[in-house]
Amino acid sequence: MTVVSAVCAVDLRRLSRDKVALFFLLVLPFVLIFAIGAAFPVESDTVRVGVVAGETTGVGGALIEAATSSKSLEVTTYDDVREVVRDIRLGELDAGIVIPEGLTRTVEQGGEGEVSLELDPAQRSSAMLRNMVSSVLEDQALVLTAARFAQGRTDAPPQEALRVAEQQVRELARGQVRSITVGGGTEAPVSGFAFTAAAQMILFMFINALAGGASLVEMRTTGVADRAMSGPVDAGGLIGGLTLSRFLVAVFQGSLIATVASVAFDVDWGAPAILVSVILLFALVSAGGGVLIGALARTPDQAPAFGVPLALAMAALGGCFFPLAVAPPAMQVVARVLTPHAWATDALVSGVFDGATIVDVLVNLAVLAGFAALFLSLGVVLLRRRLEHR
Amino acid sequence: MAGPHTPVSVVIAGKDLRRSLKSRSLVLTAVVGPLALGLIMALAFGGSAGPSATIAVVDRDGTATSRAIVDALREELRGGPVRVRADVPDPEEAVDAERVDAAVVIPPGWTESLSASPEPLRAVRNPDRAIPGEIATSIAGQVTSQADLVRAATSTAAALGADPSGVTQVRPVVTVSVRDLSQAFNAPLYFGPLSIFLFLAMGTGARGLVREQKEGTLDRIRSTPTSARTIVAGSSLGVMAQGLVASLLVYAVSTLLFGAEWGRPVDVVVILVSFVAAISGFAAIIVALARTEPQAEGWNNALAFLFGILGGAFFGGASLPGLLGAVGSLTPNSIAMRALVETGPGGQALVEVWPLVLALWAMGAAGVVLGGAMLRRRLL
Amino acid sequence: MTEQGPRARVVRCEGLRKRYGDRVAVDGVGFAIAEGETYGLLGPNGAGKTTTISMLCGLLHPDEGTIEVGGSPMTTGRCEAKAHLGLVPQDIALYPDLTAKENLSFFGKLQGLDRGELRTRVAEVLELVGLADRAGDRIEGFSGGMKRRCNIAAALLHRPSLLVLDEPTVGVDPQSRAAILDGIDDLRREGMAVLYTTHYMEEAERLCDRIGIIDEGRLVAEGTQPELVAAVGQHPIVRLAAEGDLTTFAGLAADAPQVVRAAASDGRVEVSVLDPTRALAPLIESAEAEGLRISGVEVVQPDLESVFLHLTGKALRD
Ligand SMILES: Nc1ncnc2c1ncn2[C@@H]1O[C@H](COP(=O)(O)OP(=O)(O)O)[C@@H](O)[C@H]1O
Ligand SMILES: [Mg+2]
Repeated sequence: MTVVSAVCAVDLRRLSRDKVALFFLLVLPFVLIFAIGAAFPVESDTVRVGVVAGETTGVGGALIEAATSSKSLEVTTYDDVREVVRDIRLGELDAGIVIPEGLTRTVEQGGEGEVSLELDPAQRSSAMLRNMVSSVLEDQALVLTAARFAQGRTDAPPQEALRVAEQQVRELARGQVRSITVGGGTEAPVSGFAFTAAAQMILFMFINALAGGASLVEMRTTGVADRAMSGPVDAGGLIGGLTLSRFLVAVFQGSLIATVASVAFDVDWGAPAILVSVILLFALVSAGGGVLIGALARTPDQAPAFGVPLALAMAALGGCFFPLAVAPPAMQVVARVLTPHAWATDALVSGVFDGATIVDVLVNLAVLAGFAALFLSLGVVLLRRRLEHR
Repeated sequence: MAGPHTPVSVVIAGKDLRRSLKSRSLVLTAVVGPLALGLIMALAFGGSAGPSATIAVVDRDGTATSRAIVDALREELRGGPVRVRADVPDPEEAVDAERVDAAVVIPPGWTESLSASPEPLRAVRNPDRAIPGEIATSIAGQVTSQADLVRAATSTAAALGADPSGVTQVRPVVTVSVRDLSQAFNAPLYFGPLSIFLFLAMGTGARGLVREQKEGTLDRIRSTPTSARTIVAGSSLGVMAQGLVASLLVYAVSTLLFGAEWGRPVDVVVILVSFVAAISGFAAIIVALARTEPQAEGWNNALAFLFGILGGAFFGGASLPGLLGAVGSLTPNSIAMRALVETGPGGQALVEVWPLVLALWAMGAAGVVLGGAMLRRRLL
Repeated sequence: MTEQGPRARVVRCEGLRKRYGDRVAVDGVGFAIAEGETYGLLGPNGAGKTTTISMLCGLLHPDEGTIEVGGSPMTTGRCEAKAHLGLVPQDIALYPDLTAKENLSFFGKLQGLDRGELRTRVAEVLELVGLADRAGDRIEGFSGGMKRRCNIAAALLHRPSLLVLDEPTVGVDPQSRAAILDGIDDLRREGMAVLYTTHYMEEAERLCDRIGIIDEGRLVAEGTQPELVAAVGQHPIVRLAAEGDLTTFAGLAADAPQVVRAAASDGRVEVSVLDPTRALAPLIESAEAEGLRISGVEVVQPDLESVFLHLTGKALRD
């Protein structure tokens, strides 16, 4: 036991002198949480629309009027559709409405008008925009449409049809929509940083553990391990110490993010039991990952060179970059098979957003324990082999 | 590889490129990493995402007209992000309990009421579900205006002596067309991670001269008739070559294998080359300013991630709000991303974004020249 | 052993001085080496050998002094002078992840060899150092001796007129060492000037036409081996391994003719003599007369080790 704690203490002391490691442990997670939290408020209530106004009166003007007066649209005017497309791609807009020049004139002269919507149909605001724009256009073009329809069925001259349509529309009792509001407003709003804090916690616990695998490789390759093992230290003590230090660092990382998120970013983590057990179990998973990469890498440089991309990919797949719920079902399955991250983020998110209790996430915790056992045993077996038979 | 008179700087660059390809960490870090991340993001966002709003449509009217309207709505929204449910008996209760996000209710006698004064459609909303509430309202609004359109058209036709009975839909003279932007362009998904990993890998390359000094090979190079300027030029060229190989591989594989859409190939390559040049500049300055190799590595990797975050690499190119966004827009990552977006499908020609490309080259040239001069004084 | 004068000087340096902070690493070193001559720089670790060589090869600015290689002044920036030079650094200066052939091709290209020349020279040089069959293997898989040989090969590609070797046999097995020394002999015979640093006096004795002894940055003596030995007045030693009263015998022997001094130490007596051929027989006779049982007799000629000891008051190796 003294061997384990001595090895662990040396490893932690080395870490505390490694400024780069400390930056990735203490600074970067919070920069990222702050940046992402600021960039993506949890659910924005407005849809940002760019409008290219080819005309500001008639049908087009009415459309702009309707869009501007809608509380859920935030309208910006553009000159060029290409700028609208660019800003949608840069995430500065959600959609664009392009009103062609001379729309009203075209329609009045018997042609068909077309307003185009630039949007990503996979976004849910797309349905709202499409319906809203259609209904405004239908309202505005009511007289013209009715006249055109009647003309198609009778041989009335255009002037006559238009006159009759105007009169009919004037007398028409227009349909209404009545809004009924139910529920809501009971729960306190969830902090905009909640999802990203949970996601970054999982991301950084794992990524720093993998990058820290470098110190294992260093011990292996520089002969420090040989020297220790030529004394009264067996591989078990050495591995135990190194694993323990990885574990402690991961627990520290998780707790730090949890605390800062709750104090500085006002994140309510929900059931404390979920938070604590996810941090502890995922720290074990991370320690296992660190030992595993420490056993697999040939040189100290390889641990971060392989580990960082791997950890980022696992994080992306495991729902640390976007909620896994938005991914296609097949991908969600793959994520759960391949990454412990999916289970950990899912448990945390249920605690934060759904008010789950520890009983609701027992499956997640069991799977995390399984991943931890798998990574740790694989890592320890490989590392022991590397240390003892060379 | 080298002709009889290959310039010595190219020989040095070639040696560095060969070594980095052999070590595989360039390919793993700067090629496999971004491809894996980009593919995951593309699969997550590009495909058919699960429903993100569920709207109950409740037909309390029960006429042929109302049934046709419900069917048409379901048809129209099928496969999109909004799911329509027609099997909710009590919409107010379901919205309240958040079993559905919002509801549209066609009241009893609605079809009947159209001939005189129409009964309003109802949109049932929950304040916690703002956007779905808007969706429900806009669906109800569209059903209403379509009904108005039918009524106005048929009554006009009737007034002119025709018999338009049985008409349920009228095509408006102004229609909406939707242009799908989701699939047309996904360079940011790959370029975001690439911009970070490239910085990591090129930093390793830029520290090459310092490493060679420690390992003794720099002395051997300096004992040959090779000028200090050539040695530094060769090393910088090698760093750029590594960056270029990695980014072109990411571009090619993502395009050919994953069907990614980056834009016009010439534009993309020019922008990638310019970005690589800019990163070479930063990597060179870092090596020149740092006192030790580990220190240079630390600064380099920290800056790689900071630039990545501020430049929007983690959010598909979206910029941050406020001061962070302003600072972020000055990063080479953000400038290159902007150039890619501006020249993306349906965007501008490359010549129109020359200031962006120029800015990247200016960063690169300043860094390589300054850093190179400092490094030359220190090492050679 | 060598006559100077008619042969051209390949390198000449004068008054070289280099200090690191308060420590003077090289203090007024100067020498010249002619075509076909092997010059040894002999001195213990830290004497200033590598620093001297670094200045000579234009890797380091001297604080003072001048260097000329192949008729051109050598400075860190001058390429003409460097073209005459082949440097074998003290540590293995090769890329471990590249093959022997890739390493040699690279350094050959830096020397300006064109493609055809490069191919033949790489093959020749690999043959010369006995690595032709390992040309395609990475350096990291080589043994210490193979790495050393390849390290030398990289300096030979462009047929330099001056080959500079900085302790090229450190950590090398006896076989490889012999091969390296033989190879250098061959190069000298072809007319190459060689500057060889070492702290092994046997190597300097075996290989070098002239030797400069360096200590604490100063060249304390220079000449052929016999010149050096003569200059410091060292005598041959007769070493007797024997049992009996060695101390008494040593006292007696010290007063005998031909003997300079005598001392006894565990199991043997060492007697410095003027001429061993004349002193040997009387010594053995008197030893037997004293009742010593002699088990071995050895005559040791004075070597550079003793020269170094005499000059600096310390051993070459610690
Ligand atoms: N870069 C340096 N900085 C400070 N001192 C140095 C440096 N290089 C060499 N020295 C010192 O100069 C002296 C001569 O070193 P060196 O030329 O390497 O000796 P040798 O090659 O004979 O073993 C030593 O005392 C060494 O510590
Ligand atoms: Mg030395």
